[in-house]
Amino acid sequence: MKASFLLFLPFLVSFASCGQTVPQIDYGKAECGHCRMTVVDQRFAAALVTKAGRQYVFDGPECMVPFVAKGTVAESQVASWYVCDHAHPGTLLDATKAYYVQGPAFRSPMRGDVAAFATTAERDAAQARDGGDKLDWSQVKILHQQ
Amino acid sequence: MIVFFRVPVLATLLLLFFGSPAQARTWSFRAGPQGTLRAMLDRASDGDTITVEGVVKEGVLNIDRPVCLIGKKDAVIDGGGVGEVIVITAPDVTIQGFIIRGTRISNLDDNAAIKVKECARTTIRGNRLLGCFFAIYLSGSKGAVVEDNEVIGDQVEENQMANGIHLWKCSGAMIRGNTIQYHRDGIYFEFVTDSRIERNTSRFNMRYGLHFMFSHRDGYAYNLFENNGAGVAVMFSHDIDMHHNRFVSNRGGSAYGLLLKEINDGLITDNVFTDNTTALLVDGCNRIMVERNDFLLNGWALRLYANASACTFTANSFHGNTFDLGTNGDLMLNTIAANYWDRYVGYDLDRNGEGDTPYRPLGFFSLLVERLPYAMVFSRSLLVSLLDRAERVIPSLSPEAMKDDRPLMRPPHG
Repeated sequence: MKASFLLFLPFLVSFASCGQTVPQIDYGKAECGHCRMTVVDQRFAAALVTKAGRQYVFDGPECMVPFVAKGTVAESQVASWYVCDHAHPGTLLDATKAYYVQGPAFRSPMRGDVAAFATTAERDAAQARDGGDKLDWSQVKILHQQ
Repeated sequence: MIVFFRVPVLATLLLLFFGSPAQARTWSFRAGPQGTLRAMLDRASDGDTITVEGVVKEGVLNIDRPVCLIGKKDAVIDGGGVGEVIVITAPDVTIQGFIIRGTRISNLDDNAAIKVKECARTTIRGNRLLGCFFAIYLSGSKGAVVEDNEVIGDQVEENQMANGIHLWKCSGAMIRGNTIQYHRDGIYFEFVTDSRIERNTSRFNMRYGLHFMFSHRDGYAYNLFENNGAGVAVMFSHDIDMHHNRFVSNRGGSAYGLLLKEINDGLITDNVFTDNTTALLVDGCNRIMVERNDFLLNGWALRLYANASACTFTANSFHGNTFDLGTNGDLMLNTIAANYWDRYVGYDLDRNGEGDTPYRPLGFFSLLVERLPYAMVFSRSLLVSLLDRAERVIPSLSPEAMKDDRPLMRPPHG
């Protein structure tokens, strides 16, 4: 009994870790789940992980939000949302806690033009430099759901 | 009488000496300690030509008047890595015959070797742009000509590179005879209208050889797109004319010879697709005419999604492809007629050049793989070929309209 439990332990650990890991985006190879464009821009890319552990990669929030709004993956099935930190390209942030600015100076691949930041200081600095409007995650979602 | 005669002569002489562009001068500049190109540009007047020798390294070079800069043999303009290299803000500027290098790679600024800002009739000809972040960047330009340039990014730092020839909000541009390698997208069009792309070679770029976004009434012809990370993508655009191009060896899970996404009223004629994972993917398109193209030795020749409508496929030739056709649904609102399919095994008893029984390009396995991509491991197995044969004889899975009623007995051309 004990032996058989030990036998399954590694599987349990690996399953448990599945849902927790931050997705790895294979830039230049991965295809956007919504618009099919190959994802290359490390300042804007986004990703989500479902409760089943499946990962989807996107060009940016402007593709991730409508992908879920369209219902390919139900919103209730999304375990975590990620967006790239515009100030530190390639680093993924928890999308629900990030600080956003939207404006034409941020030329994202699909022209949603939303940049995400980890801190308000970095976001405010970017806004001071390039203009645009401050947003939070709920506003980003409303913006791209139409 | 004499007075009437003299006045026009005098006027003509005055015009010859003091007016008109006929007075344009040619300056020659040799890089060295005796002066800067900047200073010579400041002395030049509209329409003048400056020939340049040696290595010019003066930081960002702003060209703010209509002049023609001609590089003599091996003339170099080196930006020194401070930002952009040449910034053009005047109409009728020509940059010809230079080696240009030394942009700064940046996440915040779109630094380019040649940046054209809101001006008309720029000519960029016969330059070599080496290891630049963006090479040629036209923003709000009208009637530009970009021809015979060699645009070579950095092979080692390819994922740092931006686009080779990048156009944003332009119209009436001609992009001709350029070679672009090792950039993100070879040629990139965003909000570009009424422009042409001809006889370029775009290969080894990280993402697309050519990429259209929101650009209308443009055309590209006689180009070679080879070995790009994801092939060529034409997205969210209408009225694009695509003919006589070659799409070669674009391989990978998300690589396409040509990816069409939300395109209306396009023409795809006389192109050759060879050795691509997917030669042509049609997703959410309307009224695309695909005629006289050759599909040779591809994984999928054609992936036609159920959300495409009123597209016609005629007089194309399908040869040696693993799958002639793939689709993702039951709906078929397109016309496939009178193409040549190398797998067609029917007869032509009435000798009209068209097979007497329909050809069904959609195999059982093609349908299965679209639903279960991992089933690909069974490709070319005995069971799969039996099932494929069965589906062709007694179609049960494929949409009824998914057939060519008049398959050609011989390739229609070549």
